[in-house]
Amino acid sequence: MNDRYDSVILHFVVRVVMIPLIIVFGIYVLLHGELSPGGGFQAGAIVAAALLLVRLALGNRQAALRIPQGLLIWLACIGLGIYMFGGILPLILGANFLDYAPIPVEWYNQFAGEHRTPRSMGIFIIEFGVFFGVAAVLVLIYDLIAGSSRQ
Amino acid sequence: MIWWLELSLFGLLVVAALIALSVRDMIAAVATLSVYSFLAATLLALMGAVDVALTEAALGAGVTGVLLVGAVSVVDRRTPD
Amino acid sequence: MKLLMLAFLAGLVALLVWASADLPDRADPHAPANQHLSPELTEMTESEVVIPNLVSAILADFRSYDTLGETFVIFTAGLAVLLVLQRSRRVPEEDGDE
Repeated sequence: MNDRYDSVILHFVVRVVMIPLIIVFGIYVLLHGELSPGGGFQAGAIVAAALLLVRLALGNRQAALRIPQGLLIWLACIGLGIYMFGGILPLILGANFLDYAPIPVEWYNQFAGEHRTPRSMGIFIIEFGVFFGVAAVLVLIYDLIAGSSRQ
Repeated sequence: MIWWLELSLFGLLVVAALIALSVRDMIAAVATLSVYSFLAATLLALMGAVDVALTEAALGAGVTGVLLVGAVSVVDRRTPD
Repeated sequence: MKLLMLAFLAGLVALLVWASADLPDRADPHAPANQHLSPELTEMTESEVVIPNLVSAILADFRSYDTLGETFVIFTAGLAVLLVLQRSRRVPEEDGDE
């Protein structure tokens, strides 16, 4: 697992075809979480699968898409922080915890040209939090297992 | 609903589970487990639970297989049982 | 013993197949499981959370405490793996120093 296989076909397929396709699909699933099947959890798992595919196919010493461990922990914390932000923002604005009704959306609708209700805006925020948390934790677990097996 | 498609998928599911239990090579067992998860995802998509199918395909067939390969690389690859 | 276990398993499979004949059809709106809370949640999704995906509305809006707990569970799993595997990597160095 630690040594990379010198196969041109494997390198080409993984680098050029699979990785961009999987990451773009994951971001699509994240951004269209309210419109089509998917959401933050699925998108995080898909993007983490793409990052793990790099490590599995090209070896663990592969420099591309190698995220340092501290940054992964920070990303997981930032994901939880985004989720808690989506919960506490309505609390500040005078509603219950995680009750998205008072979230202001007019600026976003004018900025993006969409017609979002406050509740779907809250779902949008929360899915970003779940996305960062899941993707970072899955990659972190694999990096730790692979790092402990290197000795 | 296409009943013979679901029935054959269920049969393949059971066959994949039995192979994953009985095979000696751990990497082969992990790969068969991924096949099992993918068949389960196909069945869930046929049942109309597309969200669950997407989660099963991404987590069960993708990430879990990779994590188990990482775990197998730590321990011995051959198993006597 | 193995024959007894096989007979028991065959009996169990037969019992489950026989019981599954009484189950309602999948996605039947008149099934008892779909009568209790699902109509209200579907109507609330259409009237308050105006999004097409009902599953996302339930997971991230009506049941968002569950999703918060799920995120915490995953985060805690990552922290547990971090603590366990990092310690196992640091111990031989300390032994070598002393």
